Amino acid sequence: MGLSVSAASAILFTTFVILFGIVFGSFDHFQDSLVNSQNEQTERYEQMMETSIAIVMVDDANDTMTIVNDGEAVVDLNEVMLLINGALVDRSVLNITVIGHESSKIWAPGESLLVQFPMDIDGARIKVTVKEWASAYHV
Amino acid sequence: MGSDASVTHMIFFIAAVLVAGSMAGVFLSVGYEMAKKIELESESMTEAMQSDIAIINDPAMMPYDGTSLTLYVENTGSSTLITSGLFVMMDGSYVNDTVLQLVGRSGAEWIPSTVLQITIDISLVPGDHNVKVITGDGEADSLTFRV
Repeated sequence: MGLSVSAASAILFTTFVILFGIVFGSFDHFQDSLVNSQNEQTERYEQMMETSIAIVMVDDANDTMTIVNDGEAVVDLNEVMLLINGALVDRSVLNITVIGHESSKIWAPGESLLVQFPMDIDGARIKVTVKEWASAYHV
Repeated sequence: MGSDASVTHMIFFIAAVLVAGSMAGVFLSVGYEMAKKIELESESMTEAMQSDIAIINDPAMMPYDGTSLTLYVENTGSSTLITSGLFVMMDGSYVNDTVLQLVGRSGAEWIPSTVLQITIDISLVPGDHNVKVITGDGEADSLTFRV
């Protein structure tokens, strides 16, 4: 009788140890994922707060525009979107360069961006946006 | 008498081991299911926290020709979204006629920092309107604009 109880107890004890391991492992993984995602989200919010741009000059005669990064975040040039009279301009037809760093793909704080449009921008309403975190308008 | 007792003990032993084994099996399967659900929940929460979209249209100059409106929605998060299951609400009403096209890309994978063009066949009265875009992943953004 005693042996039966011992055997049953041993089986149940082992089961609970394994069960605890499985569930604890999952909770640990869950917590790690949550913390990593939260950190990433916080980083994104910080970048959002630090992003700011302003249109410095629009040259209607040469169809160019100069924009300054007056925020504290480094902007990837692929994140810069332009809308002319409400329509999104295909980036492949635009010539976008960081003044002084023509081959660079990043736009650092304090630097200016020169945008050469392939179309006439005289009198056009222009919107420049970086992930909608920062936008600038020229009317 | 001695052999009777041994047989009884053996029966009790086998019964105890079988019952404990069955209970262990049930506990383990329940625990495994629980762990799987926790992992799935963790994945979906992670996905939701990494996803974000933004309507980047100019609210004062929407591309609207009287019959169709074009929306530009950018994936501003850090995870790839899927375009299937996306729907649009205009002034609180579900919009049926939408054509989705990724700008500068083909396929249905909407990678970060790319724009999805949504063309809506709709007739809007001049004035202020509100549009809301909701992705299949549950991300949403809205824009109040004028036509």
